[in-house]
Amino acid sequence: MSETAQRLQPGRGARRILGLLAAVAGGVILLWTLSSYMRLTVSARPPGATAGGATTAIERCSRSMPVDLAQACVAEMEQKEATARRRLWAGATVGGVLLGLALWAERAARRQARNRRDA
Amino acid sequence: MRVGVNYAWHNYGWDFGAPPRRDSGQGWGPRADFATHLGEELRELRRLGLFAVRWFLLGDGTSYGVDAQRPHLDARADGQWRFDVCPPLTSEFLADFELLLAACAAADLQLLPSLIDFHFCFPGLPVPGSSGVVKCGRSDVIVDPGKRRAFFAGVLGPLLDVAAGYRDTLYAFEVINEPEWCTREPGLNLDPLDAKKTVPREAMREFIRDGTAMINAAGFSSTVGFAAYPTLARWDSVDLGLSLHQFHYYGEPTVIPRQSFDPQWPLIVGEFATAAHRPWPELGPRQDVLSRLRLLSAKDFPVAFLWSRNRAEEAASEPAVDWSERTRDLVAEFTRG
Repeated sequence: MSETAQRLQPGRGARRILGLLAAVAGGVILLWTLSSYMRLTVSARPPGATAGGATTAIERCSRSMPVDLAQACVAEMEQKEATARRRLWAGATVGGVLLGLALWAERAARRQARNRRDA
Repeated sequence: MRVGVNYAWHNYGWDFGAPPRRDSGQGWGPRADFATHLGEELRELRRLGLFAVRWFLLGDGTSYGVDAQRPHLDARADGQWRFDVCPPLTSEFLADFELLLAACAAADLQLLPSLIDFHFCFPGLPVPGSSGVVKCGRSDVIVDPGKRRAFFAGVLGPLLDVAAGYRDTLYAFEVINEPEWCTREPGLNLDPLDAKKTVPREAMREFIRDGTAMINAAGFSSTVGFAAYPTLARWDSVDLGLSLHQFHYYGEPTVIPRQSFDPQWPLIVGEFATAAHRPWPELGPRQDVLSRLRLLSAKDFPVAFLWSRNRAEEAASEPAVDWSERTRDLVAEFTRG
């Protein structure tokens, strides 16, 4: 790029850094979301194929407990899981948007540069 | 082949000692509620020709370490539970255990108590409405050598002392049921992602070895209820010092290996489904309990325990239990030869 073109694009360097930061942040958030999703999925499944091992989390909560306490325990467990899943969706959304914006900005910058060259 | 049955609890995790309390101070139910119909139930089991019952003592630890001693989340370690104090068993707990032993002796049945269940080590599960109670969350007992020693001294030791008065009634003492489900295996696998796998394998083996040594030293037979046959070799059950090797069979492996352990330290089947559950490939369409007992006997197992007489589990999503009259008749047909 010539000296004149650089003078015409004073914020371009800063925008590229911002785009890069957004891409890194989006990627990190997506990776965190993926690992959290795997932890949640692996941890939620019954441990094994025996009578005891096949016990679900809900059965674990309600075994030999007074009915009202068991219901409260199951409700709390379901609420915790729902919260964790909401957090995953939020992570996936934020990470995806950041990464998408960074990619879009990069493509736009390249297109602009090509247009300038062509002009 | 002698046949026993898994009782395996009346109130899981709080059969013995003071029942857990609600925040209102009211107990969850009567203490040692199992005793109400126990004599009659045990006599019925004896009539079927059964020789022993397997019973879970602490289960997931619901009533072991409550109120200020209950497990708590470790603020410094994300998602990990701490169990700071291993309290000794109360005199009520030991009295209820003795009550069970005495009832078994009176019914001419032997007892196979299982000290803890794998749920003991799962992440803690607070009980809303009973803030002094946390189910599970006690893996520190296995992982921390100091706590392990305190646990064996304050829990296993007194139980063995009580059992010493009923030497002929105690068939064997089991250290833990299906430890695989809370144990992280070494190597490349998904275990590090699984919040339920709270105990490294070496720590679990140490725990088993220490418990086994204590049981053997008290003059009883020791055992561990391994969930799967391959664990016997993978965890080197012979090296653990067990007197009775035990695995649970729920249709895997496809072919049940023949009992080939030394008759002095044999291999027994600690659980198998009384319901059709997962079919046993060797049996084809005949999946009834009589066919299963005959197959195990043909494979030279000296002892097998049915899962279970707890009819509440017949309502499970995938029931392994069928304790109907027909099943009981088939069991009696086998035991009578």
